[in-house]
Amino acid sequence: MGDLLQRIARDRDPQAFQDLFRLYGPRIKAVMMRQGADADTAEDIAQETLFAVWRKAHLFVEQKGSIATWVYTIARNLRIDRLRRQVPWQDLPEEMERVPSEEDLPDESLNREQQRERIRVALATLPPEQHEVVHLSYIEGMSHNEIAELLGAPLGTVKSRMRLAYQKIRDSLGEEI
Amino acid sequence: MTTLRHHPHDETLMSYSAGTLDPAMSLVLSCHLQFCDTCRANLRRMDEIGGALLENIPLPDEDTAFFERTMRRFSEQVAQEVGSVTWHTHLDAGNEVIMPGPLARETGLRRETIPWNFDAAGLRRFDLPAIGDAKATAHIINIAPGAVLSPEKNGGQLILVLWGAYDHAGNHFERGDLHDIAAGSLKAFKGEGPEGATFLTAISPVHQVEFLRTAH
Repeated sequence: MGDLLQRIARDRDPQAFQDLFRLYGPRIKAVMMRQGADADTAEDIAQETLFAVWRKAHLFVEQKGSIATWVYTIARNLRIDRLRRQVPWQDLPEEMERVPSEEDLPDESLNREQQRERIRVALATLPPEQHEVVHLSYIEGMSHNEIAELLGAPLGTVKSRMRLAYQKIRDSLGEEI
Repeated sequence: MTTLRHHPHDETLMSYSAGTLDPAMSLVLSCHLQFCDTCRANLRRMDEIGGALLENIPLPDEDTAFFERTMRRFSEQVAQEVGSVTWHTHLDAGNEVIMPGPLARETGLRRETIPWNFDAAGLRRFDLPAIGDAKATAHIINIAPGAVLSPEKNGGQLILVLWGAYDHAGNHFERGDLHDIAAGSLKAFKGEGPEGATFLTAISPVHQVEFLRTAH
């Protein structure tokens, strides 16, 4: 994955863009449609996301997050802007981090791949009820209220499952809370 | 950068990360992010969840037409590649002049051009136009020094202090602080210091009548 990003950022290799598309284009489109976008809008958001990656890869190359996360975040922001009035509020994630901060992402010693792997494992080992609310929220695009209704559970339960899931993910990155 | 004392609850930030937080609430939260390193770092961790779940989705069947349309647009993009846009980020809580970017972009306003549409008895209020499909409503509210706003109920509400400070149940909130009020507490807001408090708030439909009636 790191190679893909290098090929985009440094080599400006159009073939790398095709690989990027194959990995993420159809997935973004599928998620957008699950969250209620029509096919045209979903496709448009997917394309805009990948173009943004192409344009900004040189900024992202030094960052620590995974490329999937970056793709996810751009797509999410584009979707939110689309739902509103297309006025962009939020800067693209990589640009928010130009100024180093003391609380910069997790453990300095973790590289992108290690981090990605730890989060993947942490997600896979979440208790099913926590994994369920996280999935419904992030992939199906449901609000906490909607999830509570669907599961017939109190809103407070949904919120605490979300919180617990996050704590596990955070712990998996080796941080003290 | 000043250390902020008040932040959103984890689950509030997570719904922002998942893109499911109400747009008016999201506006308030995204303004807080402009001030807050801690919450930006948390958000990035939460966004990792989204990235991992995205990768977990089974690849849909190949869609050649989609691929070709994308490559066509891509060639056009590459042909007219331009330099990246510069955004301003990272507000210093000490800088009293600037309105957080998301709010400035949404409203086109500066601090001195807020068109108060209610102004009496130590309280001023500007109701933002509806934001997309938001159910919550967004408002900028100013409480004069010593003035008290005592809603009969509040909750389902996010508040970001833009300028000045207020007291709520003995807690002090100032510029950049995000006050995440989950459910029906009955506390009064009191403007502090020489200028009272100006804050941006998004209120869920359940409580907006109560809160805004008191603000009259």
